[in-house]
Amino acid sequence: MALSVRRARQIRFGLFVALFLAPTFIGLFLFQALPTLTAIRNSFYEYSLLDPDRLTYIGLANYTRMLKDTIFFKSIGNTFIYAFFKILIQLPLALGLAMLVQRPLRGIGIVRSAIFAPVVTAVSIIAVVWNLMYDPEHGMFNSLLVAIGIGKQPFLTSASQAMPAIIAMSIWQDVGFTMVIFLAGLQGIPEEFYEAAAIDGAGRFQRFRHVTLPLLQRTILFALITTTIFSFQVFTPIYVMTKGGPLDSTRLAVYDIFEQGFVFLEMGYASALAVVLIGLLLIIAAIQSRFLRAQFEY
Amino acid sequence: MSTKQKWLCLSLLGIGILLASCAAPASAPTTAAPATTAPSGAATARPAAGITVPSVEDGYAGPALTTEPVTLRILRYQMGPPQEALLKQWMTEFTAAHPNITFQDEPVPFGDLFTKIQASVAAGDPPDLYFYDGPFTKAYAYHNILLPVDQYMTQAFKDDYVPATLAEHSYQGKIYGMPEQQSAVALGYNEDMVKAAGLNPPQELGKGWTWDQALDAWKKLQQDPSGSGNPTVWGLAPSQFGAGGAGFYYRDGIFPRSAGDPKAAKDSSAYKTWAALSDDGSTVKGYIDSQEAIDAMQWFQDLTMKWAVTPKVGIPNAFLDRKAATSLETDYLIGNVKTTFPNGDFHLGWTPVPYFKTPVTMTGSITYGVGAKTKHPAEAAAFAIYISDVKNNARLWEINQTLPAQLSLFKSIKAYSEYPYKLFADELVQIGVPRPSTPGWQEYEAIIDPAIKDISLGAPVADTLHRAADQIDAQLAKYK
Repeated sequence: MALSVRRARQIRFGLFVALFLAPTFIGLFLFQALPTLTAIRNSFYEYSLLDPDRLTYIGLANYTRMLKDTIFFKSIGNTFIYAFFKILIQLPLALGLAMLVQRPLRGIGIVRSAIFAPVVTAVSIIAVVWNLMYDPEHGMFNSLLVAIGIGKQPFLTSASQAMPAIIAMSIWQDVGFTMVIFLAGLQGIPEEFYEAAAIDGAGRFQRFRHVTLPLLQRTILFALITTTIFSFQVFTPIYVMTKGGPLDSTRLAVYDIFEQGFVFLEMGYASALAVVLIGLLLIIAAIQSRFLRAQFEY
Repeated sequence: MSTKQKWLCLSLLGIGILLASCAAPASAPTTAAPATTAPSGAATARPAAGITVPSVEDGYAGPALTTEPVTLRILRYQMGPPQEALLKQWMTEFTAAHPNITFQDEPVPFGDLFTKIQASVAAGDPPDLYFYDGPFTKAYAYHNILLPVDQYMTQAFKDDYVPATLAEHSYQGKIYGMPEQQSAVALGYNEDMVKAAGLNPPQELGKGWTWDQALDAWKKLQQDPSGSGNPTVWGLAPSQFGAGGAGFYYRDGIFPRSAGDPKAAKDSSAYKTWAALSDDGSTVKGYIDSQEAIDAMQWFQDLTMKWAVTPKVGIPNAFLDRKAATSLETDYLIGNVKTTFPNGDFHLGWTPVPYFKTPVTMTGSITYGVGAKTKHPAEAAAFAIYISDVKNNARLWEINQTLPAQLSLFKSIKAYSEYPYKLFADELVQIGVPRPSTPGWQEYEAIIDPAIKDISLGAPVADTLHRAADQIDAQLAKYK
């Protein structure tokens, strides 16, 4: 009797919990899982948004077509380059900033907010403003360069400079987010480890190398995976600033997928490219998790 | 948590879900709330003096309209306030004649129009009427978005259109669109700057400059007092079309097409250069990347990279801000100057669009179309024909004074008998060519525009054009 009352209470509690979780899971299903499954299904069809009635099953034709699509491979290559340099610069920079703003100095909250402010600003607005600043004739950056004796630069109008220009803008916008992740990680490391290391005679760099980095491994992994995923998803700066040019030098994977689906009206092919991109991201995340799994616990 | 508290939380959650579902829009979102125009008693027309209001039956040859209540949904671009007011007036007049027919109006910014049309079709919620960009006629006809409207028009209504305009809005021998207006490009110039430079540009079609003559003029007009390479006045303003700067085929495509010859043999390179697309719409190889086109685009590239008479990037309002002495524009600029300089400070002159071998201007503008999925085709067609009627287009001209699409208006509107309007009318009728007429126009433009932009920034001309031709052909293949 007591058992059935407890069981009934457990079931009621479980239903109660499920009810509160339901909106989130429904939202996840409707806006994440269902579109993904739909994209996978569409990847086996010839499908145009302008004529959805003309849906035609074509099997793996979209995937075999992709194997000969040099532009898509170029966009994947560009995306890897973008992600590589963004991670290479953004993560150490964010860690450095986090260590800087971790100190309880007066006004440090304002510094933290200033670094984080671009993260909460709409990326389209940032892209428009940076587009103006990069203007090769009248932009702010060229005005500064001319003032210090360096000549004007083409920036976004140059196939060699456009990608670094976009990366610089993206790092400026996103470094605050990564900084906050590292800040949380740093604040989670017990002070005793630093005290013990100091007692053992470890200098500042040694403490960083042997205490901070190892104990921050999980945080680094999280920051690495999220930055990688966000890097592969970048679209708005390309759409606003360069449209993939000059000469496809800034054509990234998501922009290519967008163009296939919404400009070239080949939603089936675009879905196939998107499925491949998802698969690629999963492999990268798995590799990152495998090689960077935390060796130390505390 | 007590049982009472649990039930309280549940109730709050339920109320929240209910409120959220009530607030959610029932249909596809629009940038502006749709407005339903209902008949308001006896509506009266208020035309300008001397303008005759057409009968709602003028030009219409279809079946009798229903007497059942009908609401026609219109998906269109957002117009300026005077034209918005005129459209509302037209709706009121039409409803006055057919009180059972009302309108649900969905304006969106012009830049969002194509996306909105795409979204409405994909969502299975298409409107009854579209006001769309004319070059997309064949694409929309191919994808069964538009209904052929020949059977709803009288022969006189069809015959009044410029023949090239009618062809531009037809697909496989049927008419799908009624243009609201037309367009042509000429070279506008600042009369004060041109006079100071000692230049006297021709003002009649047939006497226009070649591109080389225009270049000589730009070099004379350009002002760079400090020699910094950053002129205070450019010879030629950057394109004001699209996002600004090079890479908008409507304007920049004039350069290569003017290097061609429509009178040459159809299999000749000269003809293909002018045509920019094969007659069967299947290929651009040998058309956009012919030797003539390559030479023309090399000249185009030299404008920015060698002679530097035009900037590499867009400068908004460069011409009206007097940062450029000339600009390739449509007649829309005439009204723009009058509005911006009401006391006549800006003296605007026009000369025919320059050319290499054949004067060419591209045409095409906003067009009215009837949705293929409409449940009220006759009613929708009747309204589209009503607002396209020559008498209503005359009323529209009083507001925006841009190129009409009907031949009779060139005779009835006095302004078209003299410069500068006559120049645009002559260009439309004598040298106007539509943008390449293909269901794959969206793809064509999406590939050629960045290629043109890359060329203007120094990309190898031949390679870029060959690559663009291959890419366009790959897209056109799906329409064979």
